Amino acid sequence: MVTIDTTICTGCGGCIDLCPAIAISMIKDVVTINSEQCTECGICIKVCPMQAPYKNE
Amino acid sequence: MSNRYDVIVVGAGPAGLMAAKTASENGLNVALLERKRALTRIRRVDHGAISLNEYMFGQMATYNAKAELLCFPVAGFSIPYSGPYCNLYGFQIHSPGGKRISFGNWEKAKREEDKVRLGISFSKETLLKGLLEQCKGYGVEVFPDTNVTGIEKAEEGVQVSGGGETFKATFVIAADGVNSRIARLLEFNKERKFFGTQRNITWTMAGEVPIEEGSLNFIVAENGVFSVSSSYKKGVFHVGAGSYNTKADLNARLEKFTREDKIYTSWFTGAKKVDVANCVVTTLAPIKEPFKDNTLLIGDAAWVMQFSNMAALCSGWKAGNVVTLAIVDKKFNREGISSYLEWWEKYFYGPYGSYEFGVGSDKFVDILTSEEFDYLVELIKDPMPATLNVYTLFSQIGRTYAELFEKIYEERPEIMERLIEMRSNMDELMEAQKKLGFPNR
Repeated sequence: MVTIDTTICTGCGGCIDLCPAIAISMIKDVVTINSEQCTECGICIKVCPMQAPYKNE
Repeated sequence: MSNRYDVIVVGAGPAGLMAAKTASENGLNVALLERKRALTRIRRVDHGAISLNEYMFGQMATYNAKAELLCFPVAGFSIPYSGPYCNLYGFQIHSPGGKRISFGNWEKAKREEDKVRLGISFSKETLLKGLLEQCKGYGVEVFPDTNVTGIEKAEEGVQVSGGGETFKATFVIAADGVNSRIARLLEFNKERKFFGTQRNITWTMAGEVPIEEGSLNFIVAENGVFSVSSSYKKGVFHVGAGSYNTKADLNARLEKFTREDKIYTSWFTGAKKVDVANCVVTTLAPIKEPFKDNTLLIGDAAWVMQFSNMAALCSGWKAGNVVTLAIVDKKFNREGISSYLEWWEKYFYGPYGSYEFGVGSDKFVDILTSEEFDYLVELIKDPMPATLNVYTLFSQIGRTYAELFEKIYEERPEIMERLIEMRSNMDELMEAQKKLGFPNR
């Protein structure tokens, strides 16, 4: 499962835009991942300049 | 929420807000969807800047300080701006050893100020707040917290899914920015050339401002390329790092640049980081015809345009008016909005459609040594003509150095040889850059 560290996330939305599964949304100006739709492709982890998403086993 | 709107605008940035304001001002029923909650709070990198008194994309902006209006005399509209601002006078490029080339005349700037400014840096939040107020005044229904997840053809129009709701309209104006979800969903990106994914982090620092007033600076430093720019806020400035190398740790680069660089650390002594903004930019070629199934894509959604609050605002204005005419004329189709596509072709796709974005500046830093950069920068002694147009900047640099090739070959043949070698490896470097990116297809 991939999670967002919301203390780091600035809400730029880059991950939202690039998620192939449309699994990421903006809620209250930070980003959240829908674990049911997330395919764990890892694109959000690679693209975030702030390194906010991480894999949570 | 209405059963059906004349137009749904997706994205409440400058392009979307202008489109919504223009359409609603003309009397249309407009819904404006935005994924943020605090619509006008800017969290991404864009230090609200706009060129003034210069033609770009066939448009021009002027600023009337007395009336507090930002005016567009080619297009023929004006919008309120009553917030703070500072003049911008040009670019400066700095080498690792502290040598510099100026694109602007700061002596003149100190004396003549407004007369020689190229643009202003302003509070984008204030600008957007003003537009949003106008939208609400004209009856636009605004839906924050609304992430668009789907878009499809519907009876005589379009259906948009977002925020758990379905919205219907005759037209959609997609102004959802540079990584447009709508461009992806409508499958525009499959045909567009991809150049890479740029990421950027910009720190706002408080302290003594280390640069010339009203300057935009690019610094080629030992560990990367950085931007340092003025702010309209006193005692504050911005330091940015950007790269097409998606593996680069941009915060670490900024840390090193501001605290450990032999030459540039002195710029930042005593300065404290007070804010961080960042963005991700999928760099794709412009969409040739940004229209499909009654959805018109405008602004960055149709093409990443550097330095262009002006282009975004004018695209929104144009789209809002064209859609109005289509609805009044009862031409609920491509024919109704074709004048927008003609305008787009004439000023955007026509001149810039085949523009090739280059291999990221990271590469130059790898290929030349610091001393070699210093040598190249020192070759240009006099200030260059002032500009805020990045396309003009790059072509001017290209032309100036083309004239110096013979001299460089004579004095430093090894530099020329390495530049020639890099030039012949461009395709390979570009493929590597693309591989590190995410084309949003």
